[in-house]
Amino acid sequence: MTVKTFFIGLIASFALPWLAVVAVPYATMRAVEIPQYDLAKDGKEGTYTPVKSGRVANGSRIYGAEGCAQCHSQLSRPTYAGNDLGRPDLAGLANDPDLGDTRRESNLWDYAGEPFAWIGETRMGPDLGNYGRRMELLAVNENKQRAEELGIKLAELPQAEKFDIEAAVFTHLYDPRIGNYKSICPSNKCFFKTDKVYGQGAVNALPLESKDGQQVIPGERAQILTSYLLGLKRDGEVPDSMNFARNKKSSK
Amino acid sequence: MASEITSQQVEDKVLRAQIDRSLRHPVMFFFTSGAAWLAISLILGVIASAKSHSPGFLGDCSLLSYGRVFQAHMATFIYGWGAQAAFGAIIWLMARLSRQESKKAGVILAIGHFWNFSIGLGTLGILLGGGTGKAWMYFPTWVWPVLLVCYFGIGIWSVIAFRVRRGGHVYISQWYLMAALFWFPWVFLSGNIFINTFADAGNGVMAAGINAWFRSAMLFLFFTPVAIASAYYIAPKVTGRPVYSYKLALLGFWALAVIGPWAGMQKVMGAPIPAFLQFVGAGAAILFIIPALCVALNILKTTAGKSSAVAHSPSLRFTIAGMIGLLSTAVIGALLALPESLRFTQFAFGGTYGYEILALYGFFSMTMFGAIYFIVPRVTNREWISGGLIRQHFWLSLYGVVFIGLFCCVLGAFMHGYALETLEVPAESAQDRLFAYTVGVTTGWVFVALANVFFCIHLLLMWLRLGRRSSHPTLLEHHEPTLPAA
Repeated sequence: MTVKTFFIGLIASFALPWLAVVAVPYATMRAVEIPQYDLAKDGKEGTYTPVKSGRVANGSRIYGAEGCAQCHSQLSRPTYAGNDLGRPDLAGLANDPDLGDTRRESNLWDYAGEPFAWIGETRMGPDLGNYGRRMELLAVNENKQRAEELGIKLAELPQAEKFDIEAAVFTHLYDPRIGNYKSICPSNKCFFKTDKVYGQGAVNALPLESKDGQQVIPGERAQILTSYLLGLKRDGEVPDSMNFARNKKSSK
Repeated sequence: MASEITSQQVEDKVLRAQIDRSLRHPVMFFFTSGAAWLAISLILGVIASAKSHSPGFLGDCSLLSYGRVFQAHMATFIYGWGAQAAFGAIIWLMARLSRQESKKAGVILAIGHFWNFSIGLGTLGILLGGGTGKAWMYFPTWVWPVLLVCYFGIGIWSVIAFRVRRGGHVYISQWYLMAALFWFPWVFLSGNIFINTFADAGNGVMAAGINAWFRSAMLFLFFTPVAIASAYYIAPKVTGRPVYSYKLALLGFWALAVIGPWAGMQKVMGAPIPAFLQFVGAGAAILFIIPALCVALNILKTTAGKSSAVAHSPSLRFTIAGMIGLLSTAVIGALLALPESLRFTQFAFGGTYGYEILALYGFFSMTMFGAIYFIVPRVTNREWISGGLIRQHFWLSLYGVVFIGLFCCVLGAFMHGYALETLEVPAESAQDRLFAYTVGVTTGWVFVALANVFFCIHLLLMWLRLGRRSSHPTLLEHHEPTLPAA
């Protein structure tokens, strides 16, 4: 083997796979055509528009920096890769009160707005792809229970008695052991500031027992991360052409 | 005739001594600072692992939160220890094999300081919450261009040494070294450009796929060839035999070059990217067995029948252990990459981490320790101070990596993965299954960290030229001299 042959072989053997699995897929995936609704199959026409909410870009950055992806995935795998669709609340909600079964595989547009998709390293913690939806369901159930305890209708439940989703996430970020003593999730107390209580206290102070007249208030990073986490709702309606859970009800 | 041979030998010896002397400081700098980063990385690994089962460990200090410490642990392992051990081995091996002394040792040494300074600031950045969270690219994004520039400043001199090599012959080790020097910048630059520089212009899911390819390519196309180059140098040197089969070496090299670049994207199996990328990645990870088998078989056959050399020589013993590590990495990697296994292990604890520890420590680091135990006495002109320290380094490393890599991570991955994948098992119970394995990893890391703190001190003392002044190398087993019968 001459040195010239060696280098030609080296370049060829690397350039081909590099083009095939890195460069060309990167270029083509930048501009994937957005699916269209089909009148016959979907009952409507137009372009598929994934619903995104929350502070996606900033939140995604903090999520990465804090290493959340080390323990949490954000992926509902197709059946060839895993049983994620079989879990009642991973790929959506098996029993959504309004929409029925909303579970589906993750698609490319679920990660819109995020420069890096946090597919995740492990599931030492739960998958968070539909964390926002799970929290909504939790709020509905908690509110129902509270209304029953008070003997009133759900619609009559006062605002002060309603389950505060944001406060629940803030509390989890502050100390995950407050709600679940077995949690191994790290606390992020640096995202919060402790301040003296003045008057009735801050509106967004955590619902914790006050120590020495102090209150815990979420800082900017806690707010951004919470907004991002609550925006994780990846079980929305998709066109029939990419809906592989055909028994799923329409989520109009 | 006899006097001609002698003069040639003397000339060779003088040349080797000149090469060793010319590279003393850069090589010792890379090895010692690499060992220091390894000790730091392992201490961070102990902290991260302890927090994975006892989140209250060391309190709620944000600098030491699990997510940040884990990133710092891996980043320092890869770029602090791994890359620097590789640089030290590359520059020395290439100089020796090309028979060229270094005329730019000062430049390499200065750039080495920049590398370390960047790693230091980058690690601090991660701990302060500025990391990216992207596997094997954990440092804040300003770090990678600095590292790349430093790499060119360090690596270019080995390419030049190869270009102006004496004798014209190209050794097997040189193929691997040149390939590593060629692959690293391509992988590192393109990976970082696609994922970090053009992050907003690309697709996030594809970026995650490229990240999975990047870590695999760094492992297969940089750390692996450097370790193999070292093994192909040390095994024949210590045993005094030629490499067992040149054809097998040729097959192993080209198998790695052809198969290695396709692997990686099996890690994002099920993600919304073209399915062929995922399955091609799985196929390549399985086929990695071919180059691994060629290399390990060739080295083991070269040393066959030389069991006393393996038992006595620290460098050969570590190298052989590294070759067993290479085989284990290939076999376990193939098992983990089977699509039926991936269902269980893709998101299981240790499915990726355990494999990477096995590859980076069980294979790469063990081989690099072998290289260090061989090179350091030559460049310092002193022998290792203590055989006992080398022995404890070997056994603690071996037991530690087998315990962590195979028992805790891989077995733990299947146990955890079973709970995640079996619908009859509540997802919450998966965490309970993890506890024993995460505690096991912490215990294993404590022993490995201890071994490497002493290794770092041993190396530092050698750099300070406090090693033994002796013409007899430090061996791992003592033999009482046989006295003639009275």
